[in-house]
Amino acid sequence: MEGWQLLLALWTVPPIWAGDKLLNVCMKAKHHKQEPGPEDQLYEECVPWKDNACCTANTSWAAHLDVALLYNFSLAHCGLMMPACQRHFIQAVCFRECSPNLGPWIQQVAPGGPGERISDAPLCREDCEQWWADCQTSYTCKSNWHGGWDWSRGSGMPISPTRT
Amino acid sequence: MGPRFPLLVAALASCLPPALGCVICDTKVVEALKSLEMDYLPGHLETEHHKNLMKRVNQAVQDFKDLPLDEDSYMGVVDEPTLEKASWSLLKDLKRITDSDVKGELFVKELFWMLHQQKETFARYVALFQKDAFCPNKCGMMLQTLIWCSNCQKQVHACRKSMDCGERNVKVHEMEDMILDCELNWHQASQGLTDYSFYRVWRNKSETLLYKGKEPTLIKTMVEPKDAGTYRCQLGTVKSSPATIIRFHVKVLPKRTMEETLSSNSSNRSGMSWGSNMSSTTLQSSPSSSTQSPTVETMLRSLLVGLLIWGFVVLIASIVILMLCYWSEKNLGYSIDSIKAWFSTAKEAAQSSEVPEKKATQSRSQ
Repeated sequence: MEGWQLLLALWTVPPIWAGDKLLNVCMKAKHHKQEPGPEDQLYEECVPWKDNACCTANTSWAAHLDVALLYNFSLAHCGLMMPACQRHFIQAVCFRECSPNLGPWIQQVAPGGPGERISDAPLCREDCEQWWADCQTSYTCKSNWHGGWDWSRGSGMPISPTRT
Repeated sequence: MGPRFPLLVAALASCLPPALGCVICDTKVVEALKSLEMDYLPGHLETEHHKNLMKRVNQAVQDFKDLPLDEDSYMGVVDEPTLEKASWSLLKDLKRITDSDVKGELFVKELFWMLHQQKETFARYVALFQKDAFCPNKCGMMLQTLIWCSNCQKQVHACRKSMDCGERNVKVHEMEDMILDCELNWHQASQGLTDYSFYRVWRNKSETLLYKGKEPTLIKTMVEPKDAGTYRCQLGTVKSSPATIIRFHVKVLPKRTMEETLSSNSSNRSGMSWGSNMSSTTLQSSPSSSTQSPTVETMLRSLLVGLLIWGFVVLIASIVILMLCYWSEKNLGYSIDSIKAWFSTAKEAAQSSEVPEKKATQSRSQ
């Protein structure tokens, strides 16, 4: 019995010790602050994070632009999105830029390199369903946004777009 | 290095069959096509071709929206006026064909040629809209009602250009009126606007609300040195963020000298009183000093005197002229005769010179 308890204790200790590093952190990326903190001037969809945010007011504004300054990527690459649908994408950008609680999903971009990124962060089911419902009448021109973009014109345009 | 949106793939896997072309969003166009099928075709085309023709026509109209996507020419949206223009153009041409009573194969040819032309016309209208009317604001955020061509839905789109609309430097002389204008040319066209608010921004970044309402201009009369500083105006929207923010840096210059004040005040005051009757809000400061009013009065008095003197001069001059005319009337017969005589001698001289010239030219030509 005692052996089990010891194993259990050993199993819980590392997460608690690493707990500080997983919560209330900002990843090392282009637009993130060093440390999360309160921001009273966050713009619209990013306001939910105003009490403790990894993003600045400028970043929160940039997240709302049709041609997102943050990554030179336009949500309007397949024509203008309907407002209700676009809102979800903006919220996703705010989540990525502002949330101080992404610790468990932060990864190195390149092993040993300085940059970091988020991978496999989960989404609430209600949010996912609402996203689907709001975007049913909008279009994209690529079935997978991970690759296959033509960046020659500055902001990403799909190579050989076909509306879906 | 693209953005990582983990669940986009799943969320966007939905696929709707291509919906309606843009022009078909107008009910008048739908009715016209229905009427074409029901009223015109029976009688102008063999029955067995009807279905096929209507299918092709509907397809052609839907294809209107299949323009290449480009942020300079077409983004999948139009505004109401553009849609009206495009559908009216199509209806006009359709009516021309049906009015001409053309039948059979010729009718089919004309119809599809017209649709081909109309698609190009539509592309032109849309490019014009995209260039000039789509999100016309150069700063701030404008809410614009747009129609999505893919599903004919009309929704409000947020045109975001920049967080604020810049800073202005305002210079005003002491004891004159300070005008802060917060209106931009696209405000009238924007949806969802609430109130203009003007704030005084102090050194410690705190703000005092001076005015909140529908007027876009704030006027403060009789400005004093303590009114110098920073002001901020904001136009609110139904969303949580404002449409426009403008900062004004106001400098109060010394009072203008007597001569300057006299010449500018008379025009200023008449202009200002008109201005405050129209659409602006005025902040009344403490009662003005009365040193300026007597000097204005004396100036006006001297102006009046000058006008009277000038009036007399004109009157006397006109009397003199009348007398002269009357006096010369008596001698009018004599003067007219002398004028006539002078004219007749001039004519004779001209004629005599013409005749020798004619003779000379005739001899030359021979």
